Amino acid sequence: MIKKYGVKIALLLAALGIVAVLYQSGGGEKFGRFIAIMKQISANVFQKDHEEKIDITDEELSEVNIDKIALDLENRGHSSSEASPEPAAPREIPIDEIRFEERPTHTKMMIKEAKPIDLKDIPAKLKPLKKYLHEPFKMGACQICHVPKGDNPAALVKSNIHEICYECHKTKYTKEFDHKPVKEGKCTACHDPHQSDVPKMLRGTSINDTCLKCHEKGNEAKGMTKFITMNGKFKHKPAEKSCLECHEPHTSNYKTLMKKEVGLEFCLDCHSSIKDHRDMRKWINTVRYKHGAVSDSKGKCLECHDPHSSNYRSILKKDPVQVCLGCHDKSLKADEDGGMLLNIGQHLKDNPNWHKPIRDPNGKEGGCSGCHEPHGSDNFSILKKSFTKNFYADLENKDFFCFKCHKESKITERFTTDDDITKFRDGDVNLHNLHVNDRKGRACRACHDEHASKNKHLIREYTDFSSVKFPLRFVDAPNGGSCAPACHKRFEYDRANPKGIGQKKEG
Amino acid sequence: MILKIFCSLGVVIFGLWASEGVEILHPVDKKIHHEAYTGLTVKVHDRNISKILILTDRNERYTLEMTRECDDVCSKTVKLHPGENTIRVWGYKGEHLAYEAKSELYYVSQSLKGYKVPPKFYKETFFHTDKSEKECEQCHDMSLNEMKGVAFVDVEESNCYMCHKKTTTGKYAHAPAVNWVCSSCHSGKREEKGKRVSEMSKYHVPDPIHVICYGCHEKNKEIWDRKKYRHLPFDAGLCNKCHNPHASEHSMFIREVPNVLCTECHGDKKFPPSMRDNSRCPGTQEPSCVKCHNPHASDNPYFLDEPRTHTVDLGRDQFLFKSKGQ
Repeated sequence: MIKKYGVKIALLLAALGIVAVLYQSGGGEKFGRFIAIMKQISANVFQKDHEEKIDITDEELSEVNIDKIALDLENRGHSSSEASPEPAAPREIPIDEIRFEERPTHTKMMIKEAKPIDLKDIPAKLKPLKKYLHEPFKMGACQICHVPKGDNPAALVKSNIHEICYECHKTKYTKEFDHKPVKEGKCTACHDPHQSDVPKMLRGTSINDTCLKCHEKGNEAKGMTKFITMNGKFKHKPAEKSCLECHEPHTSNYKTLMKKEVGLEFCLDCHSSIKDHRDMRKWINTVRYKHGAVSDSKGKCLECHDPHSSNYRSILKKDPVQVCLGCHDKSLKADEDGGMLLNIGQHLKDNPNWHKPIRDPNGKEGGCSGCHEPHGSDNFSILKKSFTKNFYADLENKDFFCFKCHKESKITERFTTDDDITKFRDGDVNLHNLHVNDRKGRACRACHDEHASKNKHLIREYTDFSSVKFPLRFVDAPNGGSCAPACHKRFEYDRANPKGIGQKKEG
Repeated sequence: MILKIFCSLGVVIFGLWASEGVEILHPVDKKIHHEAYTGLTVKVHDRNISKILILTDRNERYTLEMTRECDDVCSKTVKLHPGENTIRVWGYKGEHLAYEAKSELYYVSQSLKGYKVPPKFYKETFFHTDKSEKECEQCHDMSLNEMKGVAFVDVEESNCYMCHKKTTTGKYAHAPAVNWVCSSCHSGKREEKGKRVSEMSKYHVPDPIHVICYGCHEKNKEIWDRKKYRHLPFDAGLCNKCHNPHASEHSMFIREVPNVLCTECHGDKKFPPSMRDNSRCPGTQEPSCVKCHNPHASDNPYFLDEPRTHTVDLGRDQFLFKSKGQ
């Protein structure tokens, strides 16, 4: 585009610039300076290196006023061809150009008709002056907007404020979804027409403050329905920085005024290139077993995470266990093998003794994500580490997943009297070792339920062997217990008065 | 002569009268039996009977006191021995023998050679048919009450337990049997080669049984099916010929100790004399066939566990052996 019409544009710019400058002042020295400025601008347009870099002052630039040139050109062309009586009709620009919307620059010429007043003379209630001043206000051109009418000296030129705004800010916001104040023409709900301490003439102390003035809870009286909170313990960094990182302030083609379609890709745009953070796009697309919440849900990331802030780590919507139970309180179909997943909600309700990560979700390695990888994993049941599905698993050359938290010595020590290592002892014989550290070693889950159980020590009610559920028939005793599973007849163990289990083997 | 006639008449009258007092409901006369125990069930017609005496032809006696142990139907588990068994039931009125009933049955042994083929007049009759179950249903729950694939926490809850509890006695018991998950093998489908047979027992397990065994022991199938030489009974799928699928006094639920089991068929084979001193099978109390032979399948001739490397002098025959120590 630029290459094709570049020369023409440059010529036009140059010609019009000459005309403008000649019209305004004229003079040899100024003309030379003007040529230099135009050279610089055209070099910038074509993105070329220019040998002599000159500093253009703001004053000079405002006098050149490229925006004005472009607009005049357009209007002139328009009126000549169609002879429209309203050349100032607001025009629509593509959504991604809104960032670069034209910012009208007011020239001395434009305000000639208005009678500028000195800043000293502005009404007292607008003093002291703030950091950013609306340009007509700065120039004292009150008459652009106000005209005294009767006993009201500050009556507006037009009854609808937005009509006045659109006189100069010619960007009309009409997309599929408009921000309600924009739709209703309440520009001044967010913007101060005179002055502000923050850029964009906002009413709040910052962008977020302006937004939260309405969008924080407690504003139900204003007729608000969409609330967010930024007071959580954990905050989403972009949200903390500015709402406009993700949202459009005026209008958008996507729901909730998002910059792009809300979905996986929207979040992944950032979450694939954050420093010290894994590449989520790669992770999600390469894992063998995908989590339905990520791959096959309505809300995608937002199923579990709050995009703004929350009191739970990873900005989860709820407690790290409760957020999972939001879906897993019913039996769902597993993606990996088509089988039905356990109804964990019901399982936890039925079995009062819970595994510590479930009992203490906010602790270290707490929550379901202590063992499961919620964004998908290469291991079955989206576990963080591979774990045997089988009943038998020999300890050798197997790095058991449970050892992430539980001490390995629980299994490997043959004799111990230390209750910290294991209480599953007959005298000093470690019965864990007897069950696991063998050619036909049993996996942890042969006897223990990894989620919850009615018995102590998470001992299962039933163990699955060759797709038959055999009861373990565990009976707890003060100093030990007994078990009568399918594997052997009832054996008792006692820490204080050994019953002689494992003695024969040792002998 | 007159005395003879009187006597025979008396016997006939006694017989007619006797059969009315007590009746053996199970096992029916001339029944072929497949288990070592039978649940003897007696119906008592005469309420005046005070005591019932059960007598086997091996002189094993069981006494049932009418008032305490049974009402009008009494049952007792009776041990059988391979071959022909005669069970007599005597009903007593006080000390006076009043009624007699007897039942002859044949216990077919899967493993013992002399007891595999019953005489012709014994018939295959099954208890778990619709007709007999209907009769028992008046008092007993005859349904298969286990949940599919879930074992009982208390095995006595199983409806099968009361009559069949003796089948799981034994030092070594098969887990599904001792946990009474009967339906994992005894499907209750009453099918023979895919065909429904109405007079067949609901829980009859048709040959070859290995279809059911491999349901769980699938890894063994994978290993053995690849072998070059396979033992004939094993290859025919008759696992239960050697193994008792419920329980046994011997390890691996085999019906007899290996040597007895093997020589039932291989009667001509004897232990090599040089092996009788146990030196070639260290650590064993008794030389055993399975120390060197695999009873299922092997890649080596004679089902040897390892390829033979040297000969052992057996006197007349030359056997080739490899001892594990050398």
